[in-house]
Amino acid sequence: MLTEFGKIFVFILLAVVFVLIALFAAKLIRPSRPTKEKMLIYECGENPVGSPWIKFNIRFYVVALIFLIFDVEVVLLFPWALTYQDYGFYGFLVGLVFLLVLGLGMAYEWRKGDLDWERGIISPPILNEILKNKKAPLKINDSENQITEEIKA
Amino acid sequence: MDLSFITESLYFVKPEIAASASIILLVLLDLIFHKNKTIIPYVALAGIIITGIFVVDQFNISGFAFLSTDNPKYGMIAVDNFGAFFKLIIIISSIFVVAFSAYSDEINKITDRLGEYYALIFGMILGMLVLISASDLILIYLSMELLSLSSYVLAGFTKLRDRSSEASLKYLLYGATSTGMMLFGISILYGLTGSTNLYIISAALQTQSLNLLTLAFSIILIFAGIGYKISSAPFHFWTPDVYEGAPISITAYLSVASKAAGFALLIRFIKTTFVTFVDDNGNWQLLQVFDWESLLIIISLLTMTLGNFTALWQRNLKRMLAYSSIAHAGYLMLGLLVFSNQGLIAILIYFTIYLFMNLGAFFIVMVIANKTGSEDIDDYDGLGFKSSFLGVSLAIFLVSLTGLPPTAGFIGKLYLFIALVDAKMLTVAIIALLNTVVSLYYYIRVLKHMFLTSPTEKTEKIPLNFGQIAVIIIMLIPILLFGVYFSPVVDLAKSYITILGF
Amino acid sequence: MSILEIIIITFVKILFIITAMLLTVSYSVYFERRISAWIQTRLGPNRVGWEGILQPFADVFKLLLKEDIVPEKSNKPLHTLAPFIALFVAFSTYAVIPMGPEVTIFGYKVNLVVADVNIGILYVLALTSLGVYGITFAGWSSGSKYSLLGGVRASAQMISYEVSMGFSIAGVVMMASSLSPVAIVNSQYGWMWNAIVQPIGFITFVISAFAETNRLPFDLPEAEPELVGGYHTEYSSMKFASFFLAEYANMIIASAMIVTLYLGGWQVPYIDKLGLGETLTTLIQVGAFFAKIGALIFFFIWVRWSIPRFRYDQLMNIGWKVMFPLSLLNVVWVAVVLMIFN
Repeated sequence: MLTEFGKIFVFILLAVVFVLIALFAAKLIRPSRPTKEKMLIYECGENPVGSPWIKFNIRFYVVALIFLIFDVEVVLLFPWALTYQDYGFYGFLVGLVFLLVLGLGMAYEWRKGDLDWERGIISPPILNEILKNKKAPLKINDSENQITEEIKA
Repeated sequence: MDLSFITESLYFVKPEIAASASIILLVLLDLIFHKNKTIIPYVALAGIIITGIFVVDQFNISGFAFLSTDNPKYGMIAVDNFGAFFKLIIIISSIFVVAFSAYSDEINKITDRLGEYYALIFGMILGMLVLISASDLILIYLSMELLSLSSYVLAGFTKLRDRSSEASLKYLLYGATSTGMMLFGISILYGLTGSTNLYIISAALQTQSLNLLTLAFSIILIFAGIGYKISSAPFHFWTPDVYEGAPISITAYLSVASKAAGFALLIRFIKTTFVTFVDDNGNWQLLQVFDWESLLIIISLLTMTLGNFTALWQRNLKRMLAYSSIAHAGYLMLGLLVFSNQGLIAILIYFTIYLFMNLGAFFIVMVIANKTGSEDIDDYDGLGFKSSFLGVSLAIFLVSLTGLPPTAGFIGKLYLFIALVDAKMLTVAIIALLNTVVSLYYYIRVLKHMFLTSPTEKTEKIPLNFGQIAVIIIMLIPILLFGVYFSPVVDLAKSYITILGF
Repeated sequence: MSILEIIIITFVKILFIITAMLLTVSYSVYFERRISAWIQTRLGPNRVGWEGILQPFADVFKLLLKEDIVPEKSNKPLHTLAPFIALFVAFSTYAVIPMGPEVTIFGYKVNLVVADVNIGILYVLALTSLGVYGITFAGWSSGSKYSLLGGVRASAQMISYEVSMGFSIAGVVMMASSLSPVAIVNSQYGWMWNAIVQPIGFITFVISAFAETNRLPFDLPEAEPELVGGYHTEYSSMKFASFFLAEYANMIIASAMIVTLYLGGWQVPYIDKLGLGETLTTLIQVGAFFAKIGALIFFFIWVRWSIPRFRYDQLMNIGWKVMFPLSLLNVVWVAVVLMIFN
């Protein structure tokens, strides 16, 4: 007997086969004339500088961590949502408490500034010395942009 | 749908609910009082006291909460007197730790994260409370993770210090490995017996014939997880580094409360799973599936010997106390390996006394470190002359840790050794006694630096305020009192050894 | 029905869906170009066939014949795997989307959905989450700085909006008490469309859908002025076409999901009161489903050519500080509504 999940499996198989065909059919008919310049990484026409695997903004990790927390809570919310209509007022209260704690967690992240992308001035001690001498406020922007500028420079 | 099995259980988990509510309240207050956080320690203290009232309320109440679906006779949480006793130890040490933190310069410097600090302490409290009464392997694992995760963060709380970050990272790595091993052991045990409930596992062990080698493997893996929590050898390597790097208030907490929870778990795990019945003399009849006695004797002797001998070379007082706490884990295990009610009573007595003496020693080290910024033994030169109250108090705590009369530490050790002799384990008793003699050296060395070395120019008088003196005196009184008048502790311990199911 | 018949019916359905999807994907590219030209008063593609109607095929053949350039410094297995994942994920999601009610064709009772599974919504959520891998792998394996930044941006953006998407769906699940797309469509009988019952959830879901499909104004992963081509900078030939098709396939899935979850799926209000024949009713309903999707695709294209791109910090702020609280609010709102009316 072909169950509903079996049908999905067949569908996935066909999708895989189709994608494979699409990717490999092209291989048969397309030309292949690689040159040294062609195989270079694109960097606005210049020769690539340094390792391509650059350091990127640490805030991406923070976002990933926050996501991990809240996505798990989405998963925990689904069984409740599914059976919500069976439990009446009691279920409502339980869900409300859960959502309140969840909201508190979010308020906490928000207040602590973990949801801000722009974090204002980062001031390690050495930088503070420089700032005192220069007396000009230096705002550390998105380091990604900085790197892009460095690449362009 | 019927939810009564949850609502009826709530009656048994009032302390845990109070602790959870406190976490939420602390986080909320942390957000509301963004600038001025002086209120937060008081709220934390109030939360601990309310939790403590619920714990005291649980004395002489027994029953299962969150009943198992396979067998509604048993549940995930076992509320009994044994658990209540250990919970009380947790609560008392938590009160002391909050007091410590209020006087700790390390903690008070970090004003902006104060709310997190107390919320995480409550995370530890909640984890420990659940761990003590958990009778389901999954719940044991979860509560242990809650306890561990909170303590990883707290160990690295003064994150700008290299030592502290190192402590946190090492703790995390060790913890992750050993809880991973424990989880592996749990999965094997579940595979063998088909249940995660300790009582059902026990029944399965009694009736079914299992592959004993696989069982032994899973038990040793589970023991690795517990052994890491109580820092017994060979899982003790994290202890000195973490104790040294963590803020002193947290070190003290880890050495007492976290260890108490670990021991409660170990005792409950062994007694509910592997003991068939307790005979009239109070001896536990072990199932003949695993040789717990040999394992515990080896681990216990190894732990105390390693702890004591390594402590001999330590010059940092925090580190020395860390090794001493490893050694004490070994002593405490002596009470377990006799497998009798007498041994359990000895453990409870020892823990009550250990709580006060160990916290007291750490508190004085902290007060001195607040002023001098160092825990090096050379900085204690002549301290007994300059600040005599601190010197004398530390001397009393250290003498008690050694186990010499007339302090309470002597009573604790006495009961342990009596239990050993009654169980006819003379060799073990003699080795433990020799270990105590070794420990005398490094405890007394501190006294030598304080009282027999003349003060240098560096030695300063340590100013004490009224609160600090009060905290020290509150911890001194039981040490001195129980040293001569110990029958209340013994009576208390005797009436709190009942574990559910026996 | 015998097993053979079921298998044949399933195969017919799958083939029908894959073909229909390929056509709609290709033609949505064509329509995007025509509509954008119309919005900007240009002509757009109008040379291949009547009014450029054969343009998609010309594009596909062009890409088939292009040389496939894999940069020397790239991680080659992952570089090949990434477009594969993207396209495969985009295709597989269609399996659970219901296009019409149960119909009788040649004496066979046929459900107009490939697989009516009880966890269909979770299946869609799981697969769309897998889509992040395709883009992240593409960005990381290309060995180009632009690609890396594009890939990282894309994954951060997609996971940020996935949370509010999940919470919005929780509201729908509460209404239907089921995770099956068919049951969710059936629960929106008459005018009880979720878009009307829970407007906040509808809005958060639509915006999250935009972000999940990396469509403007959320197309930062491939923001041309900053990142050249984003994660597919180093892709060419059919691999590039895979990403391109996957993007449009995702757009169609997003539209289909919005229709299924919020706009009543194939439901047409009060059509059963009109007393039309069964065949006609079904035809109208299936037609309504595709009309709704078409309207949404037009909406997607319309937005793309009307609204400028966000800055990255704005994107993150909207995701976490606006969408997330709103979607939480939506769950509470649905809970209260259900409490009052039940």
